[in-house]
Amino acid sequence: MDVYQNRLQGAVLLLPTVVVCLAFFYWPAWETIRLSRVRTIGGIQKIPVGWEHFTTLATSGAFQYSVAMSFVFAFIVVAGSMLIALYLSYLINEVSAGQSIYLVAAIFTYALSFAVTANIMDVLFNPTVGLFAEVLTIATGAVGVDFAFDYTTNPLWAWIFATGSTMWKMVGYNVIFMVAALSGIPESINETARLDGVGSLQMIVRVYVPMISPTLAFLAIVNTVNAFFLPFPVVQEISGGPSNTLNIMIYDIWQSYNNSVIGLASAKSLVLFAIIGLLTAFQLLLSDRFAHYGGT
Amino acid sequence: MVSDTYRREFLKGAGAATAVALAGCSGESGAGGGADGGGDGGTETTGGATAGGTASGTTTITFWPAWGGYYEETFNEMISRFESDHDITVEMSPQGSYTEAQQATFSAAKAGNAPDIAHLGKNSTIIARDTGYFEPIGDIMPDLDTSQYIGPAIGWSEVEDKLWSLPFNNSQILLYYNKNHFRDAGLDPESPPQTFQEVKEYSQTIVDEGVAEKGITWPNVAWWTMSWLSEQRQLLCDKKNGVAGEPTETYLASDAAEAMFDWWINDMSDLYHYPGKDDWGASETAFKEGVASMHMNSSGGLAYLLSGFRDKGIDVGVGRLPTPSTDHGGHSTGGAAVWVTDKDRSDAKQAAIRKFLQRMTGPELQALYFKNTGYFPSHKESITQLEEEGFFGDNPLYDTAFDQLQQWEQAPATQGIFMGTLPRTTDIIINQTDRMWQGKDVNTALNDMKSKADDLLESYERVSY
Repeated sequence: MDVYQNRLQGAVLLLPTVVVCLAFFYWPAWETIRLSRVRTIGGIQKIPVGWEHFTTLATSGAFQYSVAMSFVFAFIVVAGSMLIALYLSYLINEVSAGQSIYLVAAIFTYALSFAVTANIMDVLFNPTVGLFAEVLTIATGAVGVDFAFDYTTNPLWAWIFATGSTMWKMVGYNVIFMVAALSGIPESINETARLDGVGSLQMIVRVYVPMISPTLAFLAIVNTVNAFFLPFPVVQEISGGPSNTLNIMIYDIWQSYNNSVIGLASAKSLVLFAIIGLLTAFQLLLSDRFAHYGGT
Repeated sequence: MVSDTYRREFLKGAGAATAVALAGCSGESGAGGGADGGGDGGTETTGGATAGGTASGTTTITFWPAWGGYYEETFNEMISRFESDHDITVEMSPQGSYTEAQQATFSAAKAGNAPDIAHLGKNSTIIARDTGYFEPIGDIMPDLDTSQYIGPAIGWSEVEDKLWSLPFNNSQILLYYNKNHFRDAGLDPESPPQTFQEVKEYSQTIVDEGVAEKGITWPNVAWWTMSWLSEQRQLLCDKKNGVAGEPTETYLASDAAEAMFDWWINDMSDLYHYPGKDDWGASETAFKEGVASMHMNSSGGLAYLLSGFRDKGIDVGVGRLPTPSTDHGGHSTGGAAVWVTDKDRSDAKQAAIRKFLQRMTGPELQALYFKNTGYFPSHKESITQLEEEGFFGDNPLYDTAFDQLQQWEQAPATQGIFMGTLPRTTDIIINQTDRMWQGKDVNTALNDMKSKADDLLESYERVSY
């Protein structure tokens, strides 16, 4: 019954984990809480201000914008990447020849780091030097439309660029899980549905989605959490977009940090921490009710 | 059947996700930690330049220039000239930009391994002063004669009557123009526009003649606002631009500000190529590719810009910063200064630092830096040297830059802007300008600019020394 031979062995084996957690998680977290209650200039001068940073943030229009935009951004990229991934996974699951080639083509973006993604996208679409940007302009010019995908001056294009790049990156991860889940569906169900003449869309919505709902619920949570953090390089690549339209929380925190406003940055990051915590708890609760795990 | 393993996997996954979230949070804000993956903001302690030994009798000091790249060779040259005359080793570790240099220096100082000498952008003056990481130059070199430095250079270094830093590289905005385009448009290639009105007329001619798509381009960077306000003798904030004490109010909605933004946004709307915010490269490329016939940029890039433009086959001319009128109050100097960190050091080391600073900001090396880069020299003697050498006669484009410098007038508006919030204030200026280009009314945007900048000032508290 006992996994370890004795308590000491267990403690020794656990020690590295405990040390790492203390050093890289609990201590920085504690430090963040402490810093959120001071005003810092550079780093040496620390003036205690109590909860002032939080009351400032609560009434700051700029911060409210930043929080709201973080949710909008997360919603767009989570919904977008999951829908695209679901459709791609369905197609990959259906196709009989060259399945692995399609699979690799769909999931390779997962292997890229976000920083690299941001760079690639900017190189391709940059309004001044981008290859695809030029192609887009020529293509639209050919049909008589004067179009420039200029995300450095147009906020709408900046949003499309940033959310698009993020989705492109996130789709791969989702496809991995979805394809695995779809392949776990018994062939008999596929056959029955087909014999009943169920179409593609019906098949996805009515049969597959309920069958793989635990996977979808898991992905929804992971994606949402990621969507608050990982797009940072993309947003940073374009300096927050025209007039800082893409000033999502993670970028806002980085900017405060960069401007040596460490106290306020810490307070902001605690707000982000709380939001993510609540969001995760909420989604877990919700998915417990709606995800179908089979059995009783 | 879909089995129970799914549930286990799912819960495990959700747990991992939460951990990721938590780690992300603390990683972003933890004490002195770098910004997380991908950001270029967290390059603290670049290079291991913290040797401090006096192993073989040689004194070693560390110096972190704000950037390397194009400028690294010149830094090396300057340092090796210094080293050959002294028994001192200078360990150099270039950073990536003013922002990165500030970030890296502060982080290193906090961790106790700051370089002896840091190189910080002039906009960081108050914030650097207020960190407590630096020792005022006035305390290190009490006998230093500051009158050996030219006014536009030394201006940024003195706050509330204390000398905090020494000017190292100094710049101003210049007008670069395409003489081929001027000829094609029937404009005199030897007389670039000097005033706002002329820039508009020239641009109109260029566009009308079909020579280029737009007349002019320059990046949306707050330096232009700073310079055009000082040229109009308008302070940017109270307390004499903060040099006399902590400012409480900005003058971003003043008549002078309105005059420049109204011209930029309304008069120039169809004649100016807008390259997006804070994007020097895009503006430079637009000029290189012939999208616009004129381009404004820093004199600090004079050397490499000229060679880059010539490589593109552009017969390039240089003119002064065009201003609202021919009455010049003087530009707002850009560039950076050298700071000494506050540490316990041996007397030998302290003496080495003094020697190094004097040499680096001295006549010979300042003249060298000017020639190689275009950043104008801090030292008065350098100018005499360059004139005696006949450098300006051989390099007429540098001469133009220099004429503009000579027109600088000593006044609170031109001696620097001393706000602890300045790096953030410039962000506000840039973002509101962006909004104007998206169609926001100039007056509304300026009022927003002012109120946001004033709110920031209120949140700042200057340290008293």
